[in-house]
Amino acid sequence: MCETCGCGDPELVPVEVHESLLAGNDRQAAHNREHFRARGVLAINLMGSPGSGKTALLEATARARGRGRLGAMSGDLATERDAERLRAAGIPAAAITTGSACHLDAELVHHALHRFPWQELDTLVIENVGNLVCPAIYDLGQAANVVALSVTEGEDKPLKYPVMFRKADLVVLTKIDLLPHLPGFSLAALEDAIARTMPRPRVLALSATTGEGLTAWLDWLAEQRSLHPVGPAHESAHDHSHGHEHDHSHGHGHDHSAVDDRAPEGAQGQGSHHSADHHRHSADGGHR
Amino acid sequence: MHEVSLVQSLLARVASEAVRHGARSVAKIHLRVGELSGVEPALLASAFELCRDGVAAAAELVLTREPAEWRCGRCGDGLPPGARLCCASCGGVVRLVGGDALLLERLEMEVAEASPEPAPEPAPGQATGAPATSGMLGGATTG
Repeated sequence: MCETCGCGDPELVPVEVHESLLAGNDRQAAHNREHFRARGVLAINLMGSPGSGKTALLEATARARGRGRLGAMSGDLATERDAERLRAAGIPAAAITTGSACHLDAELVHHALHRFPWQELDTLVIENVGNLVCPAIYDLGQAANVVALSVTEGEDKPLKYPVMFRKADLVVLTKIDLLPHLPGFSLAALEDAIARTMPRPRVLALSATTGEGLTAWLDWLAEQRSLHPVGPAHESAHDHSHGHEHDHSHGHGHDHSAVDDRAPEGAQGQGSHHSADHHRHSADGGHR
Repeated sequence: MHEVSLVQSLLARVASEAVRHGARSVAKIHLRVGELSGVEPALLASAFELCRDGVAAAAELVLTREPAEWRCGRCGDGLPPGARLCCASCGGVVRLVGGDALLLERLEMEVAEASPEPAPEPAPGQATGAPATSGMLGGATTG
């Protein structure tokens, strides 16, 4: 039309992009993952509904491990209450207050790393904002996703929130000390719901109050540490040539030059996206 | 709630593409949204209506829904919706092969045909650093 009449009307030009809307977050997450890998810190993204028992699980973990090398970052819209509880339980903990954001993202975690001695840990649990929806889509750089689901929430939660449960490497069924008061609760129904949403289902049932089942959770954490050893930087999907906006001259305490210095020979770097291929999940693991 | 922050990322990406291609405005934004992407298309559209601005102020958001599709990693058989995630034919582990996309596929831009000035280069720091056709990390964050 324009070519013939010369009217100067705009011409529509198609431009192929093919980039995830989450590409910026994913780049930052890859950067975080590289930090964790280089320092041999197992990072866990702990998600679940508000009140599902995430903080209580960490308190019980802290008590069981003594004052070892566990630390946590707790995300909430407001208050530092969870971090205070965890410090009281004897582990270093930082709060990430998100204001109105319903989830943590990789940038929030990265900023929090700058003011937290995470390099001294062997396990960093990032306790996400209580929410079964949004946190699932934001990679934080973790090695594994854990979803805490309490017995009072109902067996059909995995069917209602399939995005969250698809991303889970482990479901921790919490508050099992309450089961005597929940005659309608069916473990079989929960297992069935999980089997329809989690491609490699793995469930651990425990009570942070009585300590029942806690050993299996501690064993799982140890297993994850062995599956995610310190790895050389070149094994990572993270590419420092990708031109993201992170400034390596910033003043935080970790040392980018030390990426390779603790890598054992033959260590295979692996991100959370691939970890499931390296260990076998079982539907009955941890169940009574 | 996260739809608003996703739309803000989208608008920043669209603006950088517009600068890169010397576009006056963007007429259409084509997004692919998977059933298991964690994003509700209607909420995404609402967030876009709230946030639209700049070169994308008059853009049409074109959403393509992508259904979840699970296939056996061993024998390739597909699974019916809602099935247990284990291959009924061979017992193999199944994989999600579609349905987690959250992808900016394509833009349609208005470029003034008789524009006397050449298309400017992307401003330093304005683009995200990824080439326009990088195809980076298609889909959601894991999987």
